[in-house]
This record gives sequence, C-alpha cells and structure tokens, in this order.
Amino acid sequence: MKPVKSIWFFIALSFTGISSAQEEENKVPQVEIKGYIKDLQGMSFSDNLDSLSSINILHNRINLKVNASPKLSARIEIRNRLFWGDQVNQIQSFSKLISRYNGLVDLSHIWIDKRNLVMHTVIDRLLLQYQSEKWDVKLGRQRINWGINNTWNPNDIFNAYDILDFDYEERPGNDAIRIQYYSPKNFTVELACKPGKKKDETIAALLYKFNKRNTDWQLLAGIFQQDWVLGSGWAGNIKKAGFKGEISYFHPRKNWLDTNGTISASLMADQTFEKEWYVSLAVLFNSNPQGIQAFGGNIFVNELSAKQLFPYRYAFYSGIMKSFSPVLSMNTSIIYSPEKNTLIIFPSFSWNAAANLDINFIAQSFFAHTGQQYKTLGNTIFLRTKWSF
Amino acid sequence: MLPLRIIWLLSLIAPATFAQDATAIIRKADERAKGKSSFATFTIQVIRPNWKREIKMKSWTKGNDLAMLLVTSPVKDKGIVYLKRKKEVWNWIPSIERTIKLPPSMMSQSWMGTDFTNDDLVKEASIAEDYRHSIVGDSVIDERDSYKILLLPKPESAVVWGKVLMWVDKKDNIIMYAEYYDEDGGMVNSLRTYDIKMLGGRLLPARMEMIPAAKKNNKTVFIYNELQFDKPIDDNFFTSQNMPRLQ
Repeated sequence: MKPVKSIWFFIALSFTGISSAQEEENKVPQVEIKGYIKDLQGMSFSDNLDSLSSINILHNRINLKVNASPKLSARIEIRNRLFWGDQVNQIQSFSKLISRYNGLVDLSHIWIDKRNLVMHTVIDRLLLQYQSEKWDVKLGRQRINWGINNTWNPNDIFNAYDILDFDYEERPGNDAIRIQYYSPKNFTVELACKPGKKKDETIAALLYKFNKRNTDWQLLAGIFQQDWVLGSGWAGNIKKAGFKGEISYFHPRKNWLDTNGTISASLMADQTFEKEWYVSLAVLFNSNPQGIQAFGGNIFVNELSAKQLFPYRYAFYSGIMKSFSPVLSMNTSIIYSPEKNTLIIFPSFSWNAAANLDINFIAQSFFAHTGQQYKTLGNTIFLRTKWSF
Repeated sequence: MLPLRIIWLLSLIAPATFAQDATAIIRKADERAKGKSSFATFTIQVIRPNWKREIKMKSWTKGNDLAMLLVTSPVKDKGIVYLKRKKEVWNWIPSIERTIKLPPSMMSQSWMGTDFTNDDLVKEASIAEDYRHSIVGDSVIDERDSYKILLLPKPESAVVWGKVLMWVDKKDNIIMYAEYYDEDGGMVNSLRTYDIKMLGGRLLPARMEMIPAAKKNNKTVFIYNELQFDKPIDDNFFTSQNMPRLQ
C-alpha cells in the first residue's frame, strides 16, 4: 500500500502551517476527528425459506480533517469493513467485487480474504483544499456531487448515486481536481476533471450555477468517458411543493455524425404535510436503456452511472416518510418500472435510541416478470446499529 | 372562546391609536430580540416523558431575510447547515457533501422534531409586519407589569398561526409569555421566558420554553449561550457556497 506514505506527507505538510493558524483563527480546531461504527446484519431469501442466507458487516469510518490555516486544509477518510456470513462465501470473487475502483491510484487493501471472512480498508477521501473568498480548489480523492434531485441524478456525472445502497451515503471518491469560482454577483463556475487510467475513462466538465426567480439553475458541458455531455438542472417550487429536475444528453465523441445520443432525465416533486408527513415523487427517463444485462444481470448489484441510472426506459418512485417523534421515523420507498412490471419495495424504520446511537430496520424486496411468471426475485432484511463519535 | 372571525372584527373596531401603540410595542419587542444582525450560540433541549435530546447550534442573521444555522452537536449531525434567503431555504448535509433545496411547505413543519417550527427558527414571518396588533389587557408576570396583546394575521400574509397572544413587559418590551393558536382557535403552543439578563448588550430572556398544549410532559427548551448584535456581516456570507465552510 504505497500511497499510504503520501497521506502522511500530506498531513505533515499541513501541520507546518499550524502555529500561524492559531493566531488567526483561534476558534477553529486544527484537527477534527469524527466517524462511526456500524453493525449491519442482513438476511436474504426468495420465495422459499430454504434459500436463506446471511451477511454481516462490521463497519468503521474515520474522518480526519486538518486545518493548516483558514485557507488550507487536508482531509482523509477511511472506511474499514469486516464481512462474514453465507453471502461472502456464495458470491463469486466477493473480495474483488467490494474492492473494485476505477480511479488513478489504488487506495484499498484486503487484510483478510478467507472463504467466509473478508476484511477490507479503503481510503475514499484524500484531498488538499485551498479556499479563499472567491476560490475553492480541491485536489485528490473527493466527492463531486452535482446532483439536485433526491432520487435519481442525471447531472451527477462524477459519481452517480444508487438509492438502494443505503449503507454508503458518503459514496466512493474520485481522483480528481475541482476548481470552483464564486462570483460576488451570485453565480458559481466550476471545473472538474477526473482523469481516467485510459483515455476513454476521463470525465471532465464545466458547471455554471445561478439563482433566478426563486429557483436554482445549473448548466453543464464536458466529456463523459466516450461521450460528450450536456446537462441542465433546476430546483424550484410550485406553490408549497418543491419541484426539481435534471436532464443530461450524452453523445458519442467518435463518429458523432452517425451515432445517436442518450437522454437521461428525471423530475421530482416533494412536499411536507401536517403531522410530520413528507411525500416525494419522481420519474426517470432513459432514451437508450441498456436492460438488466448491463447492470451485471442483477438489479440489486447496480453498477450505475449518470447515463444509466436504471436498466429500463421509465422508472417511477414514490417515497413516504412519517416522523412519529424526533427519535422515531418510518420511510417507505417504492420503485416501479413498466418493463417486466419490475417493483422494488424499500421500507425502513429509524430509531435514535440514544444521542449517538441509531438503530435501523430496513427491508428490500424485488419483484418482476421472469418468463411466464411474476416472481419474487429476492428479499433482504437488515438490522443496523450505528454509534457515532 | 370567541370564533376567530369575531375576534378579527373586534380588532377592526379597536381604537386606531390603541392599535398603533400595540404595533409599536410588538415592533420594539421584536427588534430587541433581533437587531440589524446577530450571532448566537444556543442549546435546544427536546424533553419528552421518556427521553431527552440536546442539540447545539450557531446562528447568524441579518434583517428578516437572511439567516444561517449550523449544528455543532450531536456529533452525527455536526456540520449540517440551514440557509435562508428571503423565502428560499437550503440544507447542506456534510455526509453526502450536497446542498438540498427544501420545499416551501417545510417552513411550517416542526424543526428537527422539536416543538419549534422551521418558521420560528428562521423567522420567515415577522410578528411586527405580518399581524395586526391590539392591547387587550394587563397582567403581572414574574413581577413585571405586562401588556396582553392580541396578534391577528393580516389577510394577505401567509403565517402559520390563526392567532397569537403575547404578554410584553411594559418597561423593557420583553416578551414574557405567549400563546399560539391554530386557525380553528385551539391553542397549539405556549411560550414562557425566563432568566432575564444582559445578552449582547440588551436585557433579554436567556431561556425560553415552548410547551405544546395537547401533549403532556413535552416541551422544548431554548437556551442562549452567547449572543451578539449588530456586528457587520456581509450579504455574501449568506450563500450556499459558504455553507460547507462554516465552523
């Protein structure tokens, strides 16, 4: 794990600025550490209970931020996971599946790789940040999040979000450079580049953001792997409801006159109601759906991108959340696609058992037509305990 | 209780000078707690029969239009920021490194499960501008002689409450006690203030308790730890790009 050395170099570099930082900004701590320990117990089964199989993950995250001066900081975030249970054994090349990353440098390590026990560490943030009143520059592994909608983000071209992967809200990082310019006239221009190992893997784009008529707007243009990409998004409201949308158009760079592009677009509306109800509705459209095979033949191991957020042409989402009290809430998400009547039901309960202790009960069920039959493709129930520090 | 329309009618026929006095008192009480700009650190305690949670925050405000709130505790919510510019509200969530624009309906809902609404915290509605005021009586609260003032929403204003009653100290214009009613005239919350002392150079209550009328043994306590007024803050401080930078 060679790159680890460079982390210490980053940190050492940052410490040199500390004495001057102390005088300038005495309130900001130089080193901030936070994180959590999670335990996730999962149980999967299909129609018959004979197929019962378990997965257990003990998961620790450490976020470290070093503020060298008010303008310069460094961040490192480490994700450690220990897996055991039937599925570790059953899923082919399990350790490869969990450690794959298509970035520039490999910052992950598998400590244990046994038949039913795997331990994996990945550094998913490692960056230096310079910020002034008008500029923000980030270099290194980072999250570049251009999405607007809650569910599907065609504008999130750097790392698209899979809503079913509830246990990784931070998402993987990109080895990238991101330069943001904040104009005092209330618009932002941003340039981000994630060089690929190969030429056709590079993502680089410009983003322009502004606010007009009580609505946030954004426009983006650039290169998305083998394509050109053009996109736009907004976040506004219709009366009391939020109304947001994102659209991206991808066109092959090679033979661009003879080829067709792909449109990925989503719309959403959300509103809160009395007695702590919250409802959100969304629709996703893809003009060139790749079908389930492009998703590894498996709807719940999604390797998705902003260009292909769902295997089918249309997908509809409805989410209903109810807070019973500040510490107890329920959320039910339903995703439906007319293609094979694909249905995903995703209910969850959240209980804040103590100030820093959260307990979640989560279920995911998948249904679709396969052959002549409408079948349950799989169910998984999870119990998650999370202690934050 | 009188139907709301009759109360409204009574407020119309109340003597004009009286109404003006009441508005002036409410305006003074409102300005006392607000200033042209403010910076505060505070603690919110949510108290329920079986449990208690504590949230610590920092806030920056400028006029009625600009506000920023930063959560500093508990650790799992640390770094969450709310920004309000006029009628728009955004929420920065550090764990997903993204700003989410909130629907306008969220303003009238309970804030993070407390007995305060979002509106109470970012003060979208102004008790001085969005209501008509009239003095309807006197009482003594905590040995302070106070006016009892009735606030009825102006027809064009989109406020959460159907009616508000406020008891304001005659000498120092401090809100001592308030009752918030829904559009059907039922009391929803009562607010009691305590621990009056010098905060940011002004005499103010350091502790406020919001008590929901319908729920027994529930309350939300708001405690100022630090308060500063009228320190200049640039408008550009209240921007979405500044949200991740707050400390």
